[in-house]
Amino acid sequence: MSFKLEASITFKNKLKNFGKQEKKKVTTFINTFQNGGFLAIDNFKIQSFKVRNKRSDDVPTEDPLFVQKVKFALENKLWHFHAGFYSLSNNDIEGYTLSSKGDLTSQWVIHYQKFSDVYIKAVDITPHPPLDLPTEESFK
Amino acid sequence: MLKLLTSANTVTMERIKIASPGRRSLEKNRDIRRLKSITNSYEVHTFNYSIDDMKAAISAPSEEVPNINSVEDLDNWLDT
Repeated sequence: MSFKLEASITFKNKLKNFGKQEKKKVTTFINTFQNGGFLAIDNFKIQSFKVRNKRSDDVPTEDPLFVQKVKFALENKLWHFHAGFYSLSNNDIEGYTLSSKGDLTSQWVIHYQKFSDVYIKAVDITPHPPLDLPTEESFK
Repeated sequence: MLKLLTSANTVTMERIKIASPGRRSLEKNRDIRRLKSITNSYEVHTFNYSIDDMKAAISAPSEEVPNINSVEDLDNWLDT
């Protein structure tokens, strides 16, 4: 089975500015998808802990733009994968923080559109929180 | 004559009545299969390969990422 990963110009341009360690993390994301598709990135583990990969429509209900953000995330099939840089706590697990939910999170996330289990498009990389959704411009 | 016709009609109606449950059952099964078929294709179109998805994918300029196995591969692609 072949897996198709596309990248927007925004994603590619941002990636150029990262250092080697950050590029290594993004390489892992790309390589994992290219070899196993969505299931592989959705079950990616480091030291037996699952790396957080989730839909981007999980907007806090207190957000004043809750409805617009949820609608935008759903319409554009937005997901984000925790990239592995940087840990926001002293408890660092290869660039990740072990969350209270038992999975690994990081400051920076890779935003992507999931068209199917075998076809995604990386559109942006941003720090969070708060989680800002990628703009339509970043899809280009 | 009328009586005969009535009698014949009755027989015919009875035949239909006898045949109907089986036919209805066959038709029902066929309808279920058709409904399942429609439902399945609806799901495929809605969640995976809708026309809107394809339009969005085609209209936004993007680039397919070549096989990346190392940071060097990544850098080579970024330089293109």
